[in-house]
Amino acid sequence: MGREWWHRFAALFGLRREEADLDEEIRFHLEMEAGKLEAEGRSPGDARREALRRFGGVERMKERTRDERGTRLLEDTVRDVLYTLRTLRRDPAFAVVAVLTLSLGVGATTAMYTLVDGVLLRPLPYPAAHELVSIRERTAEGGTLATSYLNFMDWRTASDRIAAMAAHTPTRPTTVLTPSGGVRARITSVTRDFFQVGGVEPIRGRIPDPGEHAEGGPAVAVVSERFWRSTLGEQGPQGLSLDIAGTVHDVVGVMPGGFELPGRPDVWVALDRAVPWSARGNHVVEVLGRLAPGATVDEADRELDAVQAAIRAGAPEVDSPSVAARPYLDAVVGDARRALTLLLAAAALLLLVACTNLASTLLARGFGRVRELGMRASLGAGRGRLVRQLFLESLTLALAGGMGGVLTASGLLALTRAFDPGAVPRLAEVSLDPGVLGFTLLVAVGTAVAFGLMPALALTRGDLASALRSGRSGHGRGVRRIWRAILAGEVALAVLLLVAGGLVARDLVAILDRPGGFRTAGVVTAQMELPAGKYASVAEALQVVDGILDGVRAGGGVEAVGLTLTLPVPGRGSVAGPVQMDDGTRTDRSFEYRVADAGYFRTLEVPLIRGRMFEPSDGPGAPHAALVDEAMAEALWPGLDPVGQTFNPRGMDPFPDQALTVVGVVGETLRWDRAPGGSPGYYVHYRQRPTFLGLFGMSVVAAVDDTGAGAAHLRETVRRVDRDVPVRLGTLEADIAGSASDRRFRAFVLSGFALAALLLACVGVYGVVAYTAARHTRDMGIRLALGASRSQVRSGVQADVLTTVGIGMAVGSVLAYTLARALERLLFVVSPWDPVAFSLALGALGAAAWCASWVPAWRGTRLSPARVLTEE
Amino acid sequence: MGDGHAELLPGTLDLIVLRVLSLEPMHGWGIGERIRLLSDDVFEVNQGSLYPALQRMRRKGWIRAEWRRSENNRRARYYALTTAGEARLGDARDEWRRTSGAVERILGAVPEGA
Repeated sequence: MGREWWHRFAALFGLRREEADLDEEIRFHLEMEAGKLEAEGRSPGDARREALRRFGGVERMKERTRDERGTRLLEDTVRDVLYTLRTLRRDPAFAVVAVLTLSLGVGATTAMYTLVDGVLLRPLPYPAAHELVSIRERTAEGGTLATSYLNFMDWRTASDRIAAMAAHTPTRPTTVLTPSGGVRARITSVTRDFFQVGGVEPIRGRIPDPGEHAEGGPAVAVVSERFWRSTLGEQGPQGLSLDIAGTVHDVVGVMPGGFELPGRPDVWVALDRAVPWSARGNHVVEVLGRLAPGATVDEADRELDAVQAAIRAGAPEVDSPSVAARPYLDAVVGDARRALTLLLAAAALLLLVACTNLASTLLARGFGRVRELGMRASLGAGRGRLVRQLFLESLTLALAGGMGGVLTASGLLALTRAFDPGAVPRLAEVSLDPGVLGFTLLVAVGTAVAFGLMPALALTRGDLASALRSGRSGHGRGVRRIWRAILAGEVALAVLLLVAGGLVARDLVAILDRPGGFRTAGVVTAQMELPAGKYASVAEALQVVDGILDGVRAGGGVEAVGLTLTLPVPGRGSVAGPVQMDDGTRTDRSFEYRVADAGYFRTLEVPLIRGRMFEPSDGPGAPHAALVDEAMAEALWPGLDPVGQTFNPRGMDPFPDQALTVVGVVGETLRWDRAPGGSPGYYVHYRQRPTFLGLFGMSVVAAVDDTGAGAAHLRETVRRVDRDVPVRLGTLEADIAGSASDRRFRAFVLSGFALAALLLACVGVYGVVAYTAARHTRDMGIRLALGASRSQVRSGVQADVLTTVGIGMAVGSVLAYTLARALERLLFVVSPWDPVAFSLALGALGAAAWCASWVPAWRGTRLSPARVLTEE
Repeated sequence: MGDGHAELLPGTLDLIVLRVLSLEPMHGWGIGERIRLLSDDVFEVNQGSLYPALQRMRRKGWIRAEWRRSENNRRARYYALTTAGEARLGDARDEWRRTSGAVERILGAVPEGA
């Protein structure tokens, strides 16, 4: 096989012919010489022997002739490559482990680098995107808030450093009536100049003109390319219109796919036409601006701070003292930056583990080949040649590993995209590109150079001939120290990854297990937005809602049904603001505004603690009733009976004249992203304050049995009552789990890395012990022959490597303890110094290392002492 | 060596091979035989060192090789002088004559005052 390969390869360079010619020439020479000798009277056999003797060493002569060809380097390289392939073939387990190890490390690093490069480093798809800034209000505590519309108007007028400034509302789902029926669409309202700030032209039609932004101007809408293609069937846009919240909007333009804010809106409408807010305390819009030529983000930030201070001097109700301007890319990427950077660091760690593993594997293998190398050295191979040979071997492995890494990376990216964590913004824009590929190869080749050359040099520095004589490396002690250091380093890195993976995974489990104070099992949810334009009056819309609730309640398998504005699920935009007390003062704290009915509490089994539940008498004509949760009762009326107290959620809904009377106290519903007591709130009744129409969506919740009939019944009922209302069905459990999807993604990736590191560390330990056992076969044989028990000999072999592992674990624990702070902001429930995660990591690694060291040690002691001793 | 044979002086193999080939194209074994015959059995070419030398001279472009039928009808690689080889032969011969003349003069010199 090897020979055939050699010929195939050599033929490429015309060397095969040369070799054949040389062979034939020599044969001819020997025949002529023998013929001459025969003619002189020698026997044929004798003549041939004498001819050979006179020729003097056919192979040496061939070698010297090859030297004279001047293609020596090339030939040697080809020969070395073939030799490498042959040796790798001879030990496929080593080759496979080495290549897989590298593929894993390089693949994970490349995938993470690609994500980071695509998400964090690449500019946004807007012209001169570096000029774009995101501007928010900064609270006294240092946090940031959405901006008050009135403050935004003042900023826009006063700022010089920002050339153009625009605001938009958060994207919200709503039901839009198209010519072909009702559809769910994500909609955002934007101020004038919004499209100019972005600097992106529509692909069809135009953007709204100033008249269409003016108060009371004609209602127009701009749609996204995606919505236009998938929902509007690529018609128009001229002549197309959408009914949004009861107002018919003419579609005037289509924006290209890249023009997407966080929240990926389908429809943009003009905000200034009808501004619903009049208070500076309503933090409702996100502001973005384009820096004036030459201005920096810091300048803009300082200028806006001054502007805000001036506004505050004239309007004391302005609640945030300063302004936070930052690059828009930062705002888009947001928290993903920290997570992605962390994942990249983890991937780099994994690559390091892979490299140390490769290094120790190469070392082990190199030692195992001391005899072979010594043999080659004594046959005349120079040190350079041997180093080159070993280097080439690791380069071959590195290139194979690099290719494997690219495959692994594309696989991982495909997996990430399939996972679509939502935690990774701009994920659709990410793909493997040549730059990243170059990065991969750099890593792979760098690995080969760094870790392939080291064992090669260490091995050939000593006197190989003496190594050959003694059958072992002449400088084993020094190299063993290097090796121990490598193994300890690998173990330490593995501890880091295991701790990180363990912490994030435990945090995820803790989040999903954390009691929320309400029932999640068997609760189905149906989210919908009633298209306000369809109903002539609030009463008519209420009839529809009642129809849905009654219909669902009547269904088989439904235990309870209720209605709410927002589900207690993170990420499902809650509405909060200060409330006004009887004496006219506004609270410092914000309270969540929730709309519900009595059935909501029954369905979610939220307990009534004091007072009474909503009752049928709480109708439009009666005094408006409120249920407050324990956290709010504690915050506003500590030590007092909240029942009978009154307050006004002024600014939260369009009923400023209607104060609320507390009729009861209910249990707190916790969201996993808030601490207990962190989101106090109150409930109003949907019949008394029907704010869900047009403004917000609503969710019907139903507790159902496990036949599955309940969910189907829910959808059926909504469809029957109004076919223009699209419904999104789910379960409360899935909604909550889905809200933690970015965490799940992180936990998934990090624990994957941790497991890979564990595996690699085991391979490393196994390799070291297997090698040690093989090296000390003779010693072990002697000890066995002298009467030591197998287990004594075995633990002797194991002890050495397990000590090294122990040192690595100790170093790794200290490192992990020091570096854990980096994880603090990514963990919700679990402390970064969680002893359970540390114990699990160390326990798993220790146990795995013990097993990995036991197997080869056991194999070593199974040999019969007599055989070992005679074999040597 | 004591039997009347002599080793070639270093560097003279090229000259001798070129000279032999200037008579007629010849294969490797024949070159060795020719050298032995022409030197009246004084020079015994180390057969194993002939082929590396031929390879070197080919690389330098002094000789070229081609496969032909030999006198006993066997396939053999024949070497022939190229134009560059002829020029080289001239140079090498001059050089040799200069060197050997100088050596001869030194060996034949009579000590002063003798």
